[in-house]
Amino acid sequence: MQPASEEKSYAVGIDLGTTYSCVGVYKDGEVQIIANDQGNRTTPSYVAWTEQERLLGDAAKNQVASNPTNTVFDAKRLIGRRFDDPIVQADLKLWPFKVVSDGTKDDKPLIEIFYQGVAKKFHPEEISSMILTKMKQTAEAYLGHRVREAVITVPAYFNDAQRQATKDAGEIAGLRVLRIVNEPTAAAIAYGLDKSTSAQKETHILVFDMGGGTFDVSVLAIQESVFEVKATAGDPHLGGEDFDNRILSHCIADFRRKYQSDPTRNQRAVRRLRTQCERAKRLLSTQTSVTIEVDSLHEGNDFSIRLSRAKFEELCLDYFKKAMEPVEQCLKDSNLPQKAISDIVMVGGSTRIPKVQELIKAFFHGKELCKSINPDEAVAYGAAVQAAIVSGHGSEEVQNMLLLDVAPLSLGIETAGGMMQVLIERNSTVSTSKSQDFTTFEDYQDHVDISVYEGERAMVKDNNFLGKFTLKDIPKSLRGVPKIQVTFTIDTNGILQVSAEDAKSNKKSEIQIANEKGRLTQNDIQKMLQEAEKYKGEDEISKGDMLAKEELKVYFQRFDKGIQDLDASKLQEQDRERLEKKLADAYHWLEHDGLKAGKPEFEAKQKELQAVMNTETWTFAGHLHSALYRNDWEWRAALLVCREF
Amino acid sequence: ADLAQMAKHFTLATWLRQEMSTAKLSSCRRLGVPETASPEAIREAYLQLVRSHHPDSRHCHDEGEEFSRLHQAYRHLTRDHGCGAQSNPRHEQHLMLQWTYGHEGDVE
Repeated sequence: MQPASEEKSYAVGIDLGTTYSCVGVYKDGEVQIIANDQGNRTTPSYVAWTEQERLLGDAAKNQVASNPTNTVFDAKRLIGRRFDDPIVQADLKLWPFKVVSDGTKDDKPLIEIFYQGVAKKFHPEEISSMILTKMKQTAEAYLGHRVREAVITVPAYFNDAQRQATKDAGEIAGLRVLRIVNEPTAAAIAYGLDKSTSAQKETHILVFDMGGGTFDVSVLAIQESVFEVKATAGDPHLGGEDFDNRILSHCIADFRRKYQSDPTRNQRAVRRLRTQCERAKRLLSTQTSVTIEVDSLHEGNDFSIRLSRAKFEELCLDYFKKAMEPVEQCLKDSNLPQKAISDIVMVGGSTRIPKVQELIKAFFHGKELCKSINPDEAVAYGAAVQAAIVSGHGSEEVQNMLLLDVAPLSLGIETAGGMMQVLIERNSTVSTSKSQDFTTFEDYQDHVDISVYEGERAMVKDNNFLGKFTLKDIPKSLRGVPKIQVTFTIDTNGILQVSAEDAKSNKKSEIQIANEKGRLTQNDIQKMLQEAEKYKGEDEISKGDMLAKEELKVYFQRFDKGIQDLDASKLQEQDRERLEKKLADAYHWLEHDGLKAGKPEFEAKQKELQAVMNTETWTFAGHLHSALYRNDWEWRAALLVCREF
Repeated sequence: ADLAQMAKHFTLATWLRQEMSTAKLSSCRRLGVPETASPEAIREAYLQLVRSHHPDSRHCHDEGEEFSRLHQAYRHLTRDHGCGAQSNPRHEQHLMLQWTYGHEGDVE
């Protein structure tokens, strides 16, 4: 069923990355990766607040050095985690912006920024939603239609809470999230679509996805446009950012040695240095050595260091080595011999690093790597295809495609003695459900706790707690007699639902896991949605403010010029002085109070000046007036220039 | 006498589960293949069926229950080689759930 043309809306695919995001849409039988207003096909996942306005994407990243504490990035490293998570605590030390706990039992992290003199706190979901909004607007600008639906990608190794939080972020951005897709799977679609003509018989590929902040490996079987994930593994906290940090600390150590002063407290210096480190890392993929140079980095000292590729590799070697473990794990889980892998698909910016390529090549005994797909865009490309499949907009070829993804972690419940009983094993194809019978531990026990965990360890204390609920009013009997059926259902987004039922009384109790732990409630989401709407309004308002201010400035100039143009015969000295005083006052107002003023104030000021001018000059000569409004079109042209600006 | 106490019981039980169970037959029926089908044929049949029963598919009318059943049958045949799940109820392990008294005011 085709919707009416005026209501036509597209479903887009968004790769929401740690450092960069990318959006694509399936249109006219092919995928378009959409460039943003700056002409870039990827957009930095940055949000910043300046005195006047909120900035997103490139604009936010470009001003980061001058505004480090109010520029937020890396929200993906916070999303769905607790504040006391050791990973969050470690990252905290590297971020120039402030992260605090929300102080509740859930211990959610909040990002604190200063905007227009007031401290504001945001959930990581909100930051991500702002980036998603930016991607949505990018797509809307290109399509000329509203975008209401999206497929968003997450690292395959993201856990339940992180997936839920990402979905929430989509909702806050006003998007209906059709599906949460794993990044390596999306990349595999991009690869498979490329090769689909020859894929009559089953082929196995390994996707190696190393981006800015996360790392995933997946093994897939592709046959007749069915993409079946066999196994997946990874590290949700390993990527280019970590390499940047290593270079950064190397540089800081060098700076300390050279100047006996520590720049780490100087956020601006650290940020400027970090930008250069990132640049150096990129360059080292193509050249063998670079110079990192920052003028007047800290306390007036210039900094310069030569970094060779070998040194860079030495700094990050443990990370690179660590990345090989999931590869091995994933192959083992897939039950496939190494020889069965016919292609190794490299995705994500960090796979450009020669040492990473070298290591994986060595792991596969010198097998050539597949570099035919764009490592920055493949994920968004696959997501766009999946969006077309799910929303039913794709061509026949695309509609026939099918994705069988897996759950990355084992899911189970706690049984007596703190043991983990796994109900859904890791690498189970989703969607799936599984039931198992349990019983009571004590005589006449009429309640049972169902505590849900994810992870691979035998004891629950070593695994990740997801949520807990209680089944009540079980008919009292001896231990071991009641029969309680626990059912796990995991949907195609990888999101878990658990229910428990007593066989005798038919009492039932269930939770959607993510409601419990750290997840935003529907109420929270509604509130944030409104907040986001307000922000949108605020962005518009601040644009209006800027415009009014510029108009006022132009008026000043004209006014000034008008006075200068009049000779003494037409304007008496004292009047001239009075006018000039008035003008100087107004200038002063603009420089000081004007910083916080809005459109109404600017307009009022302009009216005030007009009034002065009218009363003062009317009596002497119409000259000034005519000087100011010499011709209307010139005035308008000046305004237009401002608007362009 | 309880058979399970006898020597070589485990080997026998395994053989019985593999060869005498109806589980394999039911899984094969679900995928619509004969019991003697090769792994390739099983996969072929599975892929065919999954195409029309996956929740993403246009032809799918349920919430993925049928897909879940198909997948379990396929997994049962390929990974567990169609083994039955029979066991002696007397030797069944009862997995027990505890309850911590008076936590978080869940009690009514």
